Amino acid sequence: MAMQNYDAAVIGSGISGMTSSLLFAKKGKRVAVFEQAPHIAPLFSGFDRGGVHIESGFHYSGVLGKDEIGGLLFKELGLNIPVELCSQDGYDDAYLLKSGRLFKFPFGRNLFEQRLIEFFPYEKEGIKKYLNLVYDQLSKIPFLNFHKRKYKNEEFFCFLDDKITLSEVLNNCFNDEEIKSLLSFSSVLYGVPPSKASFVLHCCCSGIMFETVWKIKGGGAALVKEFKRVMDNSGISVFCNKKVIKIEVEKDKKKLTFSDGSQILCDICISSIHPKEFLKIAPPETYREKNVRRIQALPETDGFFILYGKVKDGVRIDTNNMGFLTEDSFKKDHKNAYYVNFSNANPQTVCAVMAVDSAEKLWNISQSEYEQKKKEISQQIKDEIKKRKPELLDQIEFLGIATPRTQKRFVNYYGSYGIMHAADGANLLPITKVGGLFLVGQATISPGLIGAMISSFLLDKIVSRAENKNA
Amino acid sequence: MMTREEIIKTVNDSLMKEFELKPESMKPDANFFADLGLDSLDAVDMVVVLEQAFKVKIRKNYEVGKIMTLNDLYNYIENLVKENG
Repeated sequence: MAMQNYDAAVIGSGISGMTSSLLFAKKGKRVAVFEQAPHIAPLFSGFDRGGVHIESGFHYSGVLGKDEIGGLLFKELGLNIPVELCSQDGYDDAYLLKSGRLFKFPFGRNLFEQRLIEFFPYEKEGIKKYLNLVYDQLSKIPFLNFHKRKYKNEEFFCFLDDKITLSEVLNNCFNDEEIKSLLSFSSVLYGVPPSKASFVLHCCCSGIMFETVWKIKGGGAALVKEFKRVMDNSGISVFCNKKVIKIEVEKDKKKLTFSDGSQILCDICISSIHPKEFLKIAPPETYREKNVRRIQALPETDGFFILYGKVKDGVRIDTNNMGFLTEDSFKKDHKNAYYVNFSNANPQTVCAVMAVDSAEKLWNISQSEYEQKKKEISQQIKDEIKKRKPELLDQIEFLGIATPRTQKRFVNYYGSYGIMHAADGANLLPITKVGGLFLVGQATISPGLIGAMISSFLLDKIVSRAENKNA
Repeated sequence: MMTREEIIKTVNDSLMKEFELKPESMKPDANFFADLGLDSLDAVDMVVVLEQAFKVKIRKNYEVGKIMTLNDLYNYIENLVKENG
């Protein structure tokens, strides 16, 4: 039997994989997506336990409005994603434990600035300086101004490569440790500690929540469902339980071999999986040897222990995240940060989260040690909540705990945001040394929903540019 | 003092050798990323080979971030060599 032949094969069906499949289908290509897990977008889809749906990958995001970059990208892909604004007056709650105050994060520059000054009047000058720096950076980041640029505009291919860290900027603007902890709290949303995160990355991930913050109605699963609907309408073939174990170059084609022994051919192959997993299956000529070693050495973002459950009947909690900040949270780089996340679903679900360094490798332990560890960590998280906000324990019915090892089983990597975009490291880009073999996903450009989609749009522009030049 | 032609030749020779680029791809308007297939990981080595070739220090500053084509690079190196001249 002849081998199946596709114009474009996408490895992995997360946000970037699905986005790429749609963009190549729009070019009139015959596209197939291969996912190793039993269903598509396992991280973003979340999971069902105890009759409720738990979000594992997505809670909220900036710039999803119809005139903002996220909304524009959805529209470009033909996706109809229902979004709703979070409470402008406070979408996240930060408990400042030293001064015993509750800071509700608002969005909108004026509101944010006023509230910061109200809480930290002695840092007024620094607050203005910090916000100016963020807004200045936001206006310069190419991908946040993506829709204004065409592939013919060379500037599009310029990437800011800033080595200034978030810690440096905060230390430069402020003396007070509490405000530094507060303004770096959001680093848990992209998994890079303030001392390692470049200020540009911080602006890409957190700065984009200064103007608007949105939830998706129905959560991550609703977004995945809408992606799938449009992919089906576009004639994209999706294969689950299909793990690629080797990519080979055969003349102008790529040959993909799967764990079940089957093979396909394609002209273009797009990997949306973790770059270190990609290295294991990619042909040797994909990167120069020096760069293979650089990729292998890239650090991982933190993983998360997620103690999940549901909010009891009759209780409704109106915030996304509840974070607990000590005076030295910033100095300690938000190591082992705790926060509690609430969904907007009904019944309302909750994830009490503790970040854990991916380098700790808790997952290499035996099954019995692992079960014991899960119990210990569950208790540790509960104790922490009891200390900080004891009434929560009566309002929540806990159902179980997910660990980085759980995530590894479904997604094939531990750290929630994949590779760490550290200020002292270089970012990966979608191109490789093999023509027609590309890389997209959180590791290229920027992490998160927006970062993953942008990486696919960037690849689309690279391909369009090349086709345009050859025409 | 190096002439611009010498600078162009040295840049091209260094990059072709390090990254196995073909002479015909070394056009002044070639974009490093989109035409030459060099990514940000390669940029690290690019800085190293150019520093060795020109005996200059290339700081990773904002100016470097604006270099997108070979011609941008020729201009940048030309200025750097002049300053150090």
